[in-house]
Amino acid sequence: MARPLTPLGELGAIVSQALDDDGGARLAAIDAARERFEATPGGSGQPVRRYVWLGAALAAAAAVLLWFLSGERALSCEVEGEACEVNAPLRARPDQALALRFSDGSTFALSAASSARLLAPGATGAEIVLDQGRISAQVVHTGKASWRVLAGPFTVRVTGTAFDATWQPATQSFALSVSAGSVVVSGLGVDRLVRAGEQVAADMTPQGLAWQTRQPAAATVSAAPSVPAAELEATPSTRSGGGASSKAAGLDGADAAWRALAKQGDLRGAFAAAQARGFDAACDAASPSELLLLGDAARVSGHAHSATDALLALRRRYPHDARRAAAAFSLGKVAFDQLHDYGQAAEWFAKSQSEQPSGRLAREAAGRRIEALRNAGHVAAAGQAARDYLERYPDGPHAELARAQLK
Amino acid sequence: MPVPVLRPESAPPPPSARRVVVPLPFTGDTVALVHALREGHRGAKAAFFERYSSRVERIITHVLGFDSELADVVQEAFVGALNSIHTLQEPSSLEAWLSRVAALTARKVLRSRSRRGWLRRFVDSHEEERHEPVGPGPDFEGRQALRAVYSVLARLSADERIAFALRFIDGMELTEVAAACGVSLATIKRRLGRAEQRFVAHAKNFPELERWVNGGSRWQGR
Repeated sequence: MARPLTPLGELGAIVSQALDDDGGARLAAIDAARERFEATPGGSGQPVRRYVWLGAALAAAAAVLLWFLSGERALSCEVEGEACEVNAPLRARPDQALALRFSDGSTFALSAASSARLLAPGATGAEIVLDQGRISAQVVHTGKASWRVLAGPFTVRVTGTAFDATWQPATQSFALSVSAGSVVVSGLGVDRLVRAGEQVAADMTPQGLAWQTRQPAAATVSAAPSVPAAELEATPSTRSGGGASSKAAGLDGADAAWRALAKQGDLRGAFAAAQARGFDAACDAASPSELLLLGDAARVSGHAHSATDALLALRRRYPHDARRAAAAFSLGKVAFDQLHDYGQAAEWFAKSQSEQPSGRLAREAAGRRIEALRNAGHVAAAGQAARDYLERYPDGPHAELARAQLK
Repeated sequence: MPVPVLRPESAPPPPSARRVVVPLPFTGDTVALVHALREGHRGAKAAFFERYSSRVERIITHVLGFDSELADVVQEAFVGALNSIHTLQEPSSLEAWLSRVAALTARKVLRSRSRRGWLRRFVDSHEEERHEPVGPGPDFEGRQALRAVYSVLARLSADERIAFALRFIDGMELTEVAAACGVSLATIKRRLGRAEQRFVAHAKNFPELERWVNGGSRWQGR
């Protein structure tokens, strides 16, 4: 590949580089896409044969006949005055909630920027897939109501209640807050009853499922006045003590704030929110992709040492995680751009390259390493790095620099 | 010259840190991968994503800019590719074909957004917020340019935006841009010509882009 040697080509290279600065958020998006793609059923790619269609048509006709004979009608659902389409994505505007209103009076409100799909509406309820964001439910208790909200690997089964569920696929975080009635939440081997006033949160980490429950607060549940609002229970085997408590604090929305800002690409805002919540605590509670995001957020906010702490925490706590190479690359950028420690930057870029030689950052790491070695005064090593670069990426964005280094 | 020393990292991981689910490995070449995908080999699906996700994500990001729905769009591209893998006539050209799928998916997103006027207005302003410069520092100029470029690209048609992004931001050769857009070389040259003219015309309203657009550059490398 080679951009045209024009001002617009130069501008394109700068834009591409600036987009690479959002590397943490982009890697998190790839991770989320991977998990959803691998969970996608079927996908053999085989063209569907005609007799399969015929069978499907017959089955559909039989289902319609059964439906008429049974006398039961599926609930209807409206969104902004229009009928909901089954399995069509429903996306709330980024600045406004979106309400799904069912014919039995139940409502499910998607918070701003959230998305969901309606699946399998029946006579007594429906399945709703929360793809991303938050949904607030007000389910009418009819005695036979049966609703399910699917959020990632978790299922919330409802009979008649009011609750908020949140699912962030990028961070694999799930949270549930029940304000009336009770629900059963299940998934990943967990099956538990959540009552009014309780909040639960779960994060999937390489170590397993981190699961916290918050008991009813005195202010809202008179039956439990002696339980302090901040007293939380964490699964002991999944986190260290500090991590568990800081994660629990995340139920108050502190972690949610920086995560939401980071997801929108507002890294400076995310860093400010993480600082307000306590940057170290945010790191303690963070998954690998979140640590990468925190590192990037601190880096672009000009806080080199916080960035280094977050990125080193990723590499220390997740020694087998594929994002270690991206963390090494970011550490190189911090050392180069902000600490002006070019020798250390060269080492980090080399580490990033060696850990993922075919990774998406490998070419950039190879190029930045030439610059770092040159600035550090390692002339011979810079020359060798330039030769290696030209051999592998003769048309890469650092090719001219590499050739200049060899002159 | 002292040898640089890295800050220490920690001890090896506990056994519990290992991932529980490990996809079946698939080690075949591209042609074998296509055949395995057509036969529904589960390991092939994981390998397919692993090998090409960076490329697909880069194309989508270069066309759309950093997008809060990036994960959705990448997943959509791969699901679309998997469901139409039987239409790939030359298995060895999987990567080029997938680039076209990625470009088409990005085009679908752009068109879907532009069809809804309210959303388009939002997306345009939100696009600027997404790429808000983060303050003085080594990345400041780049992020200013980033924000301005995607503000200008929002004023181009979807086809022109894709051609421009693939050529100038992604750095594809003209023949690759043509293949990804599914048009002839002559057509892509004309399309890029129009895209460049419109980009430069709109970019003149953005002082951040002054040094790149004043002087009337012409694309080269035909």
